[in-house]
Amino acid sequence: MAKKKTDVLQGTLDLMVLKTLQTLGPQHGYGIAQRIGHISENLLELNQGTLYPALLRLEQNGWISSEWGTSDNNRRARYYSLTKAGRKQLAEETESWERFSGVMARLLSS
Amino acid sequence: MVFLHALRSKLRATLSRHRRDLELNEEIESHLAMLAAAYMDRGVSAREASLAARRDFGGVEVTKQIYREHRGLNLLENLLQDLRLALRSLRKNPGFAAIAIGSLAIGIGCNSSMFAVVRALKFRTLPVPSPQELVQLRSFSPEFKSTVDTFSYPFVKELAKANLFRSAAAMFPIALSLYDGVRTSQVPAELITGDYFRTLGVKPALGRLLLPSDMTSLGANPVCVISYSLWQSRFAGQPNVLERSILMNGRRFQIVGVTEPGFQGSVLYWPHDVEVPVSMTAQFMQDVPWKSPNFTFLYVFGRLNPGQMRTAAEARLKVVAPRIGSKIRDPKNPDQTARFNQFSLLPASRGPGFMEDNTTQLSLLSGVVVLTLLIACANIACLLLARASAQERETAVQISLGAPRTRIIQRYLAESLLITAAGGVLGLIATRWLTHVFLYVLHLGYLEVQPDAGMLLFSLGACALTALLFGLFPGWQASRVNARVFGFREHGAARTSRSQNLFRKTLVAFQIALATVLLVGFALFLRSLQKVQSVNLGFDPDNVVIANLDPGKAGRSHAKSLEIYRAVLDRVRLLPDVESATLAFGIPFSGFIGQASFDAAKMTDAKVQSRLVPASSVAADYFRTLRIRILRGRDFNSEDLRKLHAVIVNRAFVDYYKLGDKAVGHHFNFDGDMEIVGVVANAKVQTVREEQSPAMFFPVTNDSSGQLSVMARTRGASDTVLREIRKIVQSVDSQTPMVDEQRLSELVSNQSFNERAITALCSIFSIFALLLSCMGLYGVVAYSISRRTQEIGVRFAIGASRPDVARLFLKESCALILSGLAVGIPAALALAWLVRTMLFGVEPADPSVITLAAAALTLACLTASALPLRRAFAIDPAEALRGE
Repeated sequence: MAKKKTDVLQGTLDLMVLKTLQTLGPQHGYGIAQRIGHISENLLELNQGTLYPALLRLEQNGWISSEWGTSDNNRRARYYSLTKAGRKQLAEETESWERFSGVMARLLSS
Repeated sequence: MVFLHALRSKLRATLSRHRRDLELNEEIESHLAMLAAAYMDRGVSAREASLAARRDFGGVEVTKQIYREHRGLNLLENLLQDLRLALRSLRKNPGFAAIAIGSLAIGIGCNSSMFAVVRALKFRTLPVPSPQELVQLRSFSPEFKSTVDTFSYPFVKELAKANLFRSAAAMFPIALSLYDGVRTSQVPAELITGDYFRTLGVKPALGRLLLPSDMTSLGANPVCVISYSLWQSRFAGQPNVLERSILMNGRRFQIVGVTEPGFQGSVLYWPHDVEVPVSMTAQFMQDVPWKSPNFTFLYVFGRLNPGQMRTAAEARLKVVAPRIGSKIRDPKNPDQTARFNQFSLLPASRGPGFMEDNTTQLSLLSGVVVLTLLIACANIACLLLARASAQERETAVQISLGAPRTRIIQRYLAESLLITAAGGVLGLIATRWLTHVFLYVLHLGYLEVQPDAGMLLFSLGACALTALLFGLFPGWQASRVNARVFGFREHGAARTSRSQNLFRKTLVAFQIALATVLLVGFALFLRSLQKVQSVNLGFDPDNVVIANLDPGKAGRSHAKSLEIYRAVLDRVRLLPDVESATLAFGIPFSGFIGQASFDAAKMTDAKVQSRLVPASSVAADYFRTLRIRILRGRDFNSEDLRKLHAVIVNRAFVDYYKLGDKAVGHHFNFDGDMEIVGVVANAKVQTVREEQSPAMFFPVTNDSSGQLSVMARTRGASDTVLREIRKIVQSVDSQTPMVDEQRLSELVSNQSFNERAITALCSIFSIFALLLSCMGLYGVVAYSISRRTQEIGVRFAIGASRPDVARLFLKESCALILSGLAVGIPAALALAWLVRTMLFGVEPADPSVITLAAAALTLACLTASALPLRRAFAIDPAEALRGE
């Protein structure tokens, strides 16, 4: 029996996507979903479809950009990549997330 | 920054909605395919893999919907959708669309163009700095009860010394003949005093302007300044114009400067192109005692110091001016100028001498136009309300399918917006066109009217507000409809609230009331016009031509001029088409009639007040030519014309001075001994409206001004006679110009111009108002019939006759018409009382006029409400009952 799955926290999906793109470089939606699922060892309750509104939001904010390309198995797919503003945003969010999780960790262990 | 970036990207997405949809589909398809491929790699069957992929992905359509909602600007997308819907629904109801848009367009067009005209007339000022500082002098005689705006040259000179204003000046408008080396033509000009340009604050475009030093010696300052527009049109804008001299009335003048562009003399709407020093007056008006304190001809104006109140300057003027008067006047030769001893200052931002006699007329027209706008607004409101109730069923369906309230309201709003926009655009086009119509009807072709942006926005705003309000209100109401209660009954529209129905009826009654006001006004002015046109003038203006010639302009002396006139007259009398001909100074209805002040004491022993008596100088046959009857005595004969002591008076003169039967042969003193040789019938002199006043006629040679008119009664075509006269003038003295030619009947009809213009405009607007009210009433009845189809069917089924059914609806219309009249007639009476001075020969509360207007309105409205009855009669009882 697998462990109980956890809901994705509001707003954290954006950070996951940004981080994934930083690590993998340009990637399509499927690739991003696979990576997040792989890293989380499928512990997150994530419909892959919800990725798309998040990608849209990030692109609208100018943090990622997209272009059509061809996947490894010769399929047309849309590739997303981090922009300069996206890198900055990722740094900021990472920092604030670390601060937040540090606080939570201290709070829960006390 | 991020926000802006998102907005821009959303906007782009909105505009490329369709392509983005396709891209999203492809992206999701590709994702699903990759997921399925991964499952198949693990040995799952294709069908299973596809299902698993879908499971992992989550709801495909839900994802797409969420994606779409975030992708573009929802509001804009919905609006575009609503507008498309509205456009489609308007196209399905072309009648509704045409009436609503047409009402708006006419309302906006009439209003903004009329106000642009009014503004141009009322608020335009001279193109000079701080025109509000300009004031003009006026004098009033309590004795004669009349005002005079002109003053004598000595008066003006003394006034300038009194330092009442920062600066003061005077001018007199004249026409002169200008010869520029190529051709001769008439040019309007001004005689001006030294501080004219300083007072107005005008700058030169070239050279210099006239100064007090240009007025030093009488007759020896042959210099002038021309307007920029004359410089451009006659001298091609060449700078060497300053080295040129021009011939004016036969004398050489040096051009010393050109005024700045836009400036054309000191009277708004009456351009003058040349300014000449007043010291050169003798050159333009020969044999005129222009330096005499008794000869008043100059319009006087001044510029107040900044901050100086007009009333303060006026108070000082009241002290100073009478002193100047007594100082300059010759005690041995007092005259009527002494009687004009009450002075006042008028604002002169439009220049001295600007006639403002059309203010009432314009306010009236503005009022009429505002009423029209109100009617248009009421009409739109009615239409939109009716439409909303017709759409109630549709709305209920949408609500039951889950449409949010905001979307319902938005949909109604979109339709109103569309109507307003279309009406606004058409209104803009109509504005341009209607402005020309108004200017033409009002004889204001000289006005330069700029489309008035402020007014356009105002009327557009008023109509738009109406449309939005009455689009929003029913939308809001409809959105509250409870779909379950509504229950999709076949004729569910019957649910329309009573209050909304009452409101619509009130609007229609209000429209009828407004239309009543306009119709009564129209009827009053029409009656007034009839009266004006049927007034007995006392003379016969038809077939009388007038030729004005001026030998003085060719440099002829007074005596020589008279000789020329004589010679022309003698030959005109011989023309075959001429019945009789005469000479005159002072033509009836031309606006130029001399006034002689008359001291009653010299005239008769009877105790009557002194008054101004219109005086004309005429040759023999004047009365025959105008067909004025000679009641007693005789016409002038050649001996009178030589001796100059004969005078002819009219009937009113005899009555006023109580001369009775002894009038002929009566002697009195008026610049010497005078004898009345004849009494003629009364004839109007200046206007049809005037009370018949005493009038005097002197032999023509007695006149000193030099410019006479040849008048001839023709038998045939007046054009040929005028052509012949021109030839005769040419052959008698080739250099004497024909100043202009007129027809007496035209002069008379120009006098009733106000009546005709107002009647024409009132007729346009009242017909429009009537039409709108009829449409409103038609709408109410038609709507009411459509709502009560079943009821009518039942009535027919149980044996009601057509008249019974008709009565049912006509009763309702009658109530509306009556309540409209009940409000409209008192309002019309009140407004008619306000414009009573503009009416002639008809009382503002004339019962026959009001009855006529009310009857016309009732008839039109009843017809309009009877038209939709056909639909009621066509109702098949069986069909109607089955619908239940």
